[in-house]
Amino acid sequence: MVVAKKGSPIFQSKEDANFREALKLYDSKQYKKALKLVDANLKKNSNHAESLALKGCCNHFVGNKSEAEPYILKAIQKSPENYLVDHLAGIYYRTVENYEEAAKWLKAANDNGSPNKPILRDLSFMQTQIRDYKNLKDSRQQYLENQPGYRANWTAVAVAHHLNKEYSNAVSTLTKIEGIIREHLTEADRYEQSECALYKNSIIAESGDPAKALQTLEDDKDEIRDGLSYLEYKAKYLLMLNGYEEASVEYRKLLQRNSDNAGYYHLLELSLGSISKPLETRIKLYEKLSKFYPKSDPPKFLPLTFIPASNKAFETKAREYILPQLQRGVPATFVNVKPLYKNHQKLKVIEKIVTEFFENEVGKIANPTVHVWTLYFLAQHYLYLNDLEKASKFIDDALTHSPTLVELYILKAKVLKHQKEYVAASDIMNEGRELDLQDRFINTKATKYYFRANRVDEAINTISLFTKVEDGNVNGCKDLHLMQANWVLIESAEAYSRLYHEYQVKLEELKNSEDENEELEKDVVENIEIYRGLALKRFNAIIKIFKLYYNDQYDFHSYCMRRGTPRDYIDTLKWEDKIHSTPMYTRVLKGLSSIYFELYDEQIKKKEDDLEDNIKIKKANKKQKKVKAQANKKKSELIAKVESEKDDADPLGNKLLTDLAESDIIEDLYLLFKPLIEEGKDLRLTWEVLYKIYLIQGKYVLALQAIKSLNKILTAADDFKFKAVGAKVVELSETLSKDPKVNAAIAKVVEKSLVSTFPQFGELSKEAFLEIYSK
Amino acid sequence: MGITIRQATIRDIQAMQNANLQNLPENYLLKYYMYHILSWPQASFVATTYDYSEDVDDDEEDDEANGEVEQGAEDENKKPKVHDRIIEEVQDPKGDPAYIAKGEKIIGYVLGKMEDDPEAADKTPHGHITSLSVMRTYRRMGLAEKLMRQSLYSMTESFKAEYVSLNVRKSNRAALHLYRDSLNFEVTSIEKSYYQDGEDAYAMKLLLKLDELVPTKAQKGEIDDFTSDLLA
Amino acid sequence: MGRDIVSLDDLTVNNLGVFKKINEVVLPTSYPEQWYKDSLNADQIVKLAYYSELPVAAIKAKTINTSHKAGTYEHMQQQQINSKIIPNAVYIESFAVLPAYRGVGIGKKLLDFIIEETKNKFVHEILLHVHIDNKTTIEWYEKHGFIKDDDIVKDYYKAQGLENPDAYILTLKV
Repeated sequence: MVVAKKGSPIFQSKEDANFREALKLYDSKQYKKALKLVDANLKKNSNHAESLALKGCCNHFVGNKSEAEPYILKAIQKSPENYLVDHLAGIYYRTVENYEEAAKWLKAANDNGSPNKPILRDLSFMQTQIRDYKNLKDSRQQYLENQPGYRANWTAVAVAHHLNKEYSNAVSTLTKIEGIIREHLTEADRYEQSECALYKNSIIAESGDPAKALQTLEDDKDEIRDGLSYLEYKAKYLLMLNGYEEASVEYRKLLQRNSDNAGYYHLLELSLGSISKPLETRIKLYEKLSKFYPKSDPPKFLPLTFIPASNKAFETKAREYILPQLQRGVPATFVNVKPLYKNHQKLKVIEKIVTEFFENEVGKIANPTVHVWTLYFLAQHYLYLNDLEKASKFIDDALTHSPTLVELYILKAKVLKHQKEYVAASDIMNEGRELDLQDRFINTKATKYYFRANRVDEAINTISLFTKVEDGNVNGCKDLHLMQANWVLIESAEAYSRLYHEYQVKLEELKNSEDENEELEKDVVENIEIYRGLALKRFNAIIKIFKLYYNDQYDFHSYCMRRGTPRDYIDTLKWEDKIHSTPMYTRVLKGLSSIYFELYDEQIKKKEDDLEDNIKIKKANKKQKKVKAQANKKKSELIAKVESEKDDADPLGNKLLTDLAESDIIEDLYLLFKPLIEEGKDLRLTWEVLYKIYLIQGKYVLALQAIKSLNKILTAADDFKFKAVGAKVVELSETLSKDPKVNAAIAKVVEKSLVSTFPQFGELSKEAFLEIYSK
Repeated sequence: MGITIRQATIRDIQAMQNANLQNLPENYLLKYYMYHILSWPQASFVATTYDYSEDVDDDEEDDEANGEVEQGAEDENKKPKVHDRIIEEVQDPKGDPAYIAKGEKIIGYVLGKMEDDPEAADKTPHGHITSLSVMRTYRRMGLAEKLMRQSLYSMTESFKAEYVSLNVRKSNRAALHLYRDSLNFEVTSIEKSYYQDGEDAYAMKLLLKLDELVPTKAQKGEIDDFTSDLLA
Repeated sequence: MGRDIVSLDDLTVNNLGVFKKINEVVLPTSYPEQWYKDSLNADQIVKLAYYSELPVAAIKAKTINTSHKAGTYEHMQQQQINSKIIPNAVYIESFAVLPAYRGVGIGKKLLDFIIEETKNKFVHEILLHVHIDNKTTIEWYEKHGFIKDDDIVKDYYKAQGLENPDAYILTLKV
């Protein structure tokens, strides 16, 4: 709410009284009425800044969005020091999610003397959203001073200190409020008390003082309800303080809580010092643990990772691990042992165990399912070895044996996929799906395989069985967008990409063929455009969803302080900070980058062509009406299938495509990749693409940096010389020498640095250098 | 493989949402997962695969993960060689949304909460299971039961939940078996047309007592007294 | 698991594909799409059998009046009893157990189900056609108390393209 100071000197005129009235209306969401009063004001005094600002806000809310910001801008230009104007500007920018500007104007409102203290709270949300932690401290602190009666405000100050790595301030703030509140806690506050104690504790540990953290943890023991965190913290501190024996006891307690957490076994071994003990000791350790926790996987599996294949115990243990799973019909039996296959000897031992079991034992077992699960295992085994013939044989035998077992269809389809039979694979997957229409997992698989076979319509129709299909819609495409079904969107995007590439190939063939077929060619061109637009559209849909994901944190800047969950809140901020480097998003960027580069090449080519002849195009524009009407019908059917939201203004991504084709494509791509410079610095993709961008933009120093960053990632594993690096070194050097516009000093710096980073580049011929960098 | 069960964190929610979308008809926006983690961080758990040191993960979903239908290079030589392994180590993580990190893939989750509806008739603190699922290819390993036991224990401990409720589709025999036979839930009522598609739900309930809920108790193994010498 | 390794369950719209698959791989005869769709109707006698939670067998039967005998497989499948006619027998239309799952008591369990259903309908006869060459099946029914009719139904399976298309009728009194 915007608070106007009563009787303040700025409310002297009739306009001010009107404005006050309008503000009230605005606050009660009666924007049209407010607008009327404001307009009356502006008629009399077109310079009335508050009215201008309020008009901007009202315009936004009545849907006249393009007429909102101009008024805000006019208002802040006229009276930048009027805190009411500042506040309204802040509200406006917050509403349009421009948090940077919002923070600026809310801060101005406060600095210019607004008596409205909740501005500080709003300001702190903006500052967190834009990660301005330095100023966050002030606003949280000032607000606390205004409202010290709420624990949330103390927690918020501590969080602000913590985010600035001011550990002792954070801890003392938390300690202070703990002391104040201790006597007044009700049962309802106990959870918050527990969380805040653990938060304080984690900060102490983070500050590098495990001894103090341990001491404080014990002091606060009675306050702490989260027994899991308590034990995990304690065990960790003890390990850090070399209290191995005590740590081992805590890990045993943790195992008693959760004996399926593999990490605890590792840490238990660390505290027992057993890793350096004889193999027999370790084996015995796990045998004991297995007796404590007979239904847990890690004590049975982990020994298989450290017993050498040559040791007889490996075979015994592997048999004990695998055969009962086959007998129980555990579908993941193969997947469970597959990590061991990295060691080829272990693979061989396991192959022997299962083959022998199949040949000698399976026939004697009354339960027929053991037979099929063993066939299923062997098929996966040979698929792993890429022996597709044997894999096919085993999976076909399994299907003959138990043609109603859905898992077999999944594997059969996978084998077909490896044989590049994408269409057949999708048919088989669908056959499996038809056996269990209720199971969404197999529906997902069938959908995915349809996409991989570029059968987009069938894919969407299949998955639509599990989506909402509103009246009047032909499928669940809109619901999939709404429900953030990213995997579907990316599979569609990639399928559309493949489709338009297929049509591009077709177009080339047509152009090279003898006989002319204008109709067909036109059709192919149209398909290229449609599928490329759709690919772009789907990739962009995920970008949009990730914007939502990022904005989702907004409400929690306030909520978590009140709820008392600062630990997970801090986690959330850090997670959001890296959200653009998560697998889904990087896959989108990868897909988009190749489209962008293609479009860029076409843009260049078009410019050249345009100079030559722009007459040809006009000739092609003549068309028969009838054909057009038919095409329109086809198009509206297509649109009904692919619309991503109700009344989609650009259902085929056509506008996206044309806008992009006319923009600075490479700069747009750069903006997409910019977040990865921080968030995805460990990804190859980041530097591969940025390198290319910089090279095109003629930013050679940055291109050089990109090669260096890429090389750093690649050589992290070993001292390998990668082709991906070598080729770029050569390319950069050659581009430099050919660029007539390049600044000589810069060229020199880059050349020099190339040679110093890759000495062999200076010493050897280009060919010899590339030979070395050929991995 | 290595499969591990641990408390869910905010870093898991994208993959949890993905697992939910692939397994179940009832789906939620990411913010709802955030809301769970940031309101009742102790109540949700995940089952994931994990990498152990010498391991380079590549399993069922894995090689389907990357957008381009994979090309020959990957297929041709699956036999492990040191060389390939190093090259694979410097590959970016696959674009499969099930993955949280390299080799770490969500294969099951339980999303738990406390009743927070101010309108709710019953004011005693009690929990609710919003969603539970395990990937089909990882079934029959008891993961769903283990996930449930973790969630129930923690929600009782941290939030003093006195009972927990959930809904299950009438036709879902496997789930009914898990809740009723393995975990001792009782059917309290049948909710007509509870689901979007018109199917009825069983409303189920379990009274919670912390000392009976210690998750490993159900394994009926020997009891670790924490003092015996494990290396003797 | 604690559950019986063999269990019976209803046919639903979601597992109809299983019913079809089992019939397709086991039986030499085929059934039209409509026949499968009609199997879901409430008045149908139909059941799936599961072995260790895997569907491996299926049976479908209907009430008939034996005075209206149909002479071919196709007629027999199409024949639906008129509400005015009082049924006097249960006719087994399809009965299939996956080969790998035979000899573990699944067929018996399904047959018991049919017998129970027959009794519930106050009918005292179960009958079916069997291909004349299908010795093992005939033996199985005889072992379970069915009596083979001496008359052969000529060309019963002719349109199904079976070699030697005659059939026996087997009957069980309950």
